[in-house]
This record gives sequence, C-alpha cells and structure tokens, in this order.
Amino acid sequence: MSKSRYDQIWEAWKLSVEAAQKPEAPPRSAELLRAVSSGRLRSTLAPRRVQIAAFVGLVAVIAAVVVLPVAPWSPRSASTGNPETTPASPTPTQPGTLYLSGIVGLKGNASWNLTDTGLFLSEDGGRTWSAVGLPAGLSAPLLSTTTSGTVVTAVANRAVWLAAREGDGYRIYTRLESAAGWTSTLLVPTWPVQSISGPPESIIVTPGPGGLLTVAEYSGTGMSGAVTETFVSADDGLTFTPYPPPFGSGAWEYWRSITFVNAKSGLVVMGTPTSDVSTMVYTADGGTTWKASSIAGLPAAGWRGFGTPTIVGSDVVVPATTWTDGSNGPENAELRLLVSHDAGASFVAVGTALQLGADISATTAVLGDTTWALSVNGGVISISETQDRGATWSTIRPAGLPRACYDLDLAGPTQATILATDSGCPDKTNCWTHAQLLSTSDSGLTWTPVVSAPSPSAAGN
Amino acid sequence: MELVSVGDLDVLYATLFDAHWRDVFQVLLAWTNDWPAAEDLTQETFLRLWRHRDRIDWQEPILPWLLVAGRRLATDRFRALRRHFAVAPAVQFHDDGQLERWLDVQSALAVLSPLERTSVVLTAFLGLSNDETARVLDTTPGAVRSAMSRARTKLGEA
Repeated sequence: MSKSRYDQIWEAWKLSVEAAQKPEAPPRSAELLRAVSSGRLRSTLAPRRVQIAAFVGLVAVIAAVVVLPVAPWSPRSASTGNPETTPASPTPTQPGTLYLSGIVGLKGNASWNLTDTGLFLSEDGGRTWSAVGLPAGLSAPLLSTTTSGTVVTAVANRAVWLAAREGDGYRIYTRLESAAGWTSTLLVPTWPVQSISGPPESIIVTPGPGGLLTVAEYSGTGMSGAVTETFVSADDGLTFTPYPPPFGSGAWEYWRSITFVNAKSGLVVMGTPTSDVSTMVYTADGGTTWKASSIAGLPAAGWRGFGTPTIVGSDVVVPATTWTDGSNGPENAELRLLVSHDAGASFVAVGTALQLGADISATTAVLGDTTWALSVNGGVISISETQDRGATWSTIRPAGLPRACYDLDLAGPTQATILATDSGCPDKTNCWTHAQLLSTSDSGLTWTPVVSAPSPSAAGN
Repeated sequence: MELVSVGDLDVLYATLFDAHWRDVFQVLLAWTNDWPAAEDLTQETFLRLWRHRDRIDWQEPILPWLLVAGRRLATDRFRALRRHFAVAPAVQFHDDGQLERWLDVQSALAVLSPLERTSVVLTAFLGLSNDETARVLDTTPGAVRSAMSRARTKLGEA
C-alpha cells in the first residue's frame, strides 16, 4: 500500500531534521567569567514559574548575540568526504533585477535599504538611490543583521529615521531633509511592572502628519501579551514627550501599528502574534487612557482583522477584513473600508464589501479616496481598486508580479510600488532569498522590477 | 531554595543542550519553515535559557520552557523577517541531495500556516498531547485539532 502524500512529506521532514548537524551550544563562558569575578560563584535559583521568565525582553538576548562572542553555527564536517561541500546557491530568477538585502522598506515614494555597506534612500520609488551615511559610531554590518532590531523609516522630501538599540532603550536618529546631519534622542521605557526590566523587545516608528512622529517600544509579558510605552514628537523626532504606559487599560497585547492623528489622539491595532484576529483601541488624552474603538457596519459573526490605519485629511481610514472558519481554513473573507471622523474613537464601514475568498491577509494601500488591495487565491494574484472609498471596486489580474508581495504603497492614483520576494530556487514556492522592488504606472496592470541599485561607493558620513 | 554552583549549571546547561537542541530546532523549523532562521533561533533560545538561569525552576522539565521561549522568539523574528532579507541562503548540508530534499519539503509545507506545521510536529514528532501543544502555541486544544486536520487536508490536496 503506497504512502499518502501527507506521510511522504513528513517522512522527508523527519529525514531532513535528522540530517541537521548539532551546533555548538551558545557560549556562556563570558558570563561565567563575569559571575566569578563578581563573587557570585554560587547562583541561587529561585523556584519561580516558567512564565515569569518569559517576561524578560527579547532584546537582552538579541543584544547578547551581537555583543557576546557567539560562535557561528558550527561548520559541518561532511560525511561524504568533502568537508567544504558548497551548497547549491539559489540564484535570482531575474538576474538583471535589483535585488536588495538587509533591512528594506517603502512608504509612498520613499524606499530605504540598510545593508552591511550603509544606508541608502530613494525618493522616486527605487529608481535612483543616494547613500545617506550613518550617524557617527554606528556600524552598518551590525545594524543590518537580522538580530539587530534596527528599524528604518522615511518620508520622501521630509526625513529619514533610524532606531537602534542602546542600553535599555532605543536611540532615535533623525535626519531631516533640510539638515546636513543626524540628531538623536535616547528613549528608555519605564516599564510599569516589576517583572519587566531591561531593553524593549522591539519598536514601531510611525511618521504622522506635520511633524508628528510616534515611537512605541514594547516588551512581551507572558505568553501573548506585551506592554508598550509610547513617545510622541511634534518636531519630526528632534524632541519627544514620553506618554504613560497603558497600565491596566486593556491595551496589553502586541501592538501591530500605532497611528497618531495629533499629539493627543492616537489609534492602535493590536493582536496576539499567533492570530490574524486584531482589535483597535484609541486614546484621546495622550495615552493616559485607552478604549476600544466602536465599529459599525461589520458582520457580527466571524473574525475581524484590521490593516494599518491611514490618515486622509481629517479622517482615519482602516481596511478591515472579516471571515469565517471553514473546515479547510478561512473562508468568505471580505474587505471593507472603515472611516473615522473622530480620530479613531468610532468607525463606520463605508461602501461595499470586496470578496477575497480565502485570503484573509490581503495587502492594502490607501491614498486619499483610492485604496488598492492585493490578494492571492489559488495562486492567482488580483489587485482590486476603489477610487470612491469602497463604493465601487474594480479588479484586475496584474502581469509581472511574484506571489510573495509584502508591502504595497501608492505613490499616486495610478502609481504604486511593491516590495516582493523572489524565489531563488527554481520550482520552489517558499525558498525566497531576495527582495525586489516593482513599480507600476498604469494602475497596476503591468509591474516592472526596479533596476537601479544603491551604490555602496557613494556612502559616506 | 536550592543552591547550585555555577559549575554545576554549566554541566547541566550542556546536558540540556545535548538533550533538547534537535527538538527545539525542529519546532522552530516548523514555525518558520526557514532552515537558517531556525538555526539562529535555536541558538538564541538556549542563550536565553542561560541568561535567565536565575529565574528558572530547574526542578521542572525544561523542554516546555524552551519551546515557549523559542516560539516567542520566532514570532517576533518572523515579523522582522518580513522586512529583512538575506543575500544568500545560509543553508548548508552535507550534499546537494539533502538540500534538494529540504527544499522539496519546505515548498510542500509552505501551504500550511505556522500553527498547522508546528501542531503536527509537536504532536506527531515530539509526542505532546493536544493540551500540551496548545500551551506551547498559546492557543486552545480545539484549535490544535483543527490545525492538524487542515494540515492533512491541505497536504493531501497539494
């Protein structure tokens, strides 16, 4: 009797895992030496519950990985007699394309790329790049590692911001378009509970209207919660005001996005990392109190997930996806636009629902009254567009897009840029190794990879 | 309260690493479906164990702690990976056959969610109950059962 495909796959899984080479244990000798030198030759082990340990931030570990002399994954000694067997290096499927590595992102016309050779910024959708030059004392190879926790964001013709871990907080570096160099501010959270100490796990940096810049530093608490401290700047990050941590306010979940409309009123989309379901809370008093946003016009049954809020004039627009659970996963997914006229306190679903099938994580972008939604069903990519806040939707099948599109942002009513990954392994759908930017100027019908590359030779301080 | 010398802990740590690294790696591989990321996360999980040694009840089984800590690290890393791309894969195998096999598995499992992949690995390969699996994954036993059912359906159809 032949094995089912299910059994074949997991049998191959087992063989793959068994072939994994045991690494060296992460070294702790440096800490041991410190313990000995500090007189703590014997360590007292408090009988606390496992969950308490999970209160401690991730960053401490990540920082240790960067700072401590952690040995690399031990080299394999080949059983085939060739100790230096070269892995079959996947290559991009479109060799002429600009492939980006390191920290990559885009926002409207701005694109950024922090690599081990420096920080590069584009203000024309990735067509041309300029080296920004890092603040003095920062190391591009360290900042651009996966474990660094570094965050970059930018707004074209306004500023670029870089958040780098320092001590028990993050230092926010600001380089205004009108200024020649960087200024910086160290933001250290004052966690509201004793169980949390040390540096934050991660950070969200959100430019807002005018000179508004919101920074949210968070650290996990237990299994799925997190406590977040917010800092708001009204002068593009030159100075910040710390807002009180949302202690006991119901905002103790992981924050996915934070959007302040003005210095006092802000909106947070939050949800546990393991779920697509999310909720929204808002503050109207500078983060002192947070309440659940009221939402009208969404189906009462099923699940809800919210996209990143966008400020449109005096309104806040949020793409909302609803769905139900079927026997094979999510089904009946629908996308609606929620509009708030009171800075996120209340929302009303406007227009008509866009049918998304089983795709509950459509990539969306909002610019004015225009919204695009990129969805994938059965391997087929669709881009739906509304230019009247969801009253009518039109859907096209774009040409030239890879399946794995992560970020979509609109640079104009018919112009957009997408950050996508390209499978570096022929015929493998999840062997993505390269990021690429693609742009369209015909409302998404055709997409062309951006071909110019950041030039390391142009880097300088 | 028990006193354990740093030297004892050093030996205990090495023993625990030998005993559990593959289980931790396997679960993180299921969660990420990314070999190099799972390698890195396994290292970080054990480093976290060492750094938090004073807070851990060493009389309790340590594998659940490792799996929860690893899953939390992986969850946060997964977010970062959405914005972070490696120039070239760091996957290294003895030979191209092993790499090819893993790429086939990775491709096949890409249709599953992290919850679906990890539920299967925790129950089928590590032998955890649905309740134990739910605790590691911060979900409900019902969600675990549902995830495993979906995994079987999806892979059967793939």
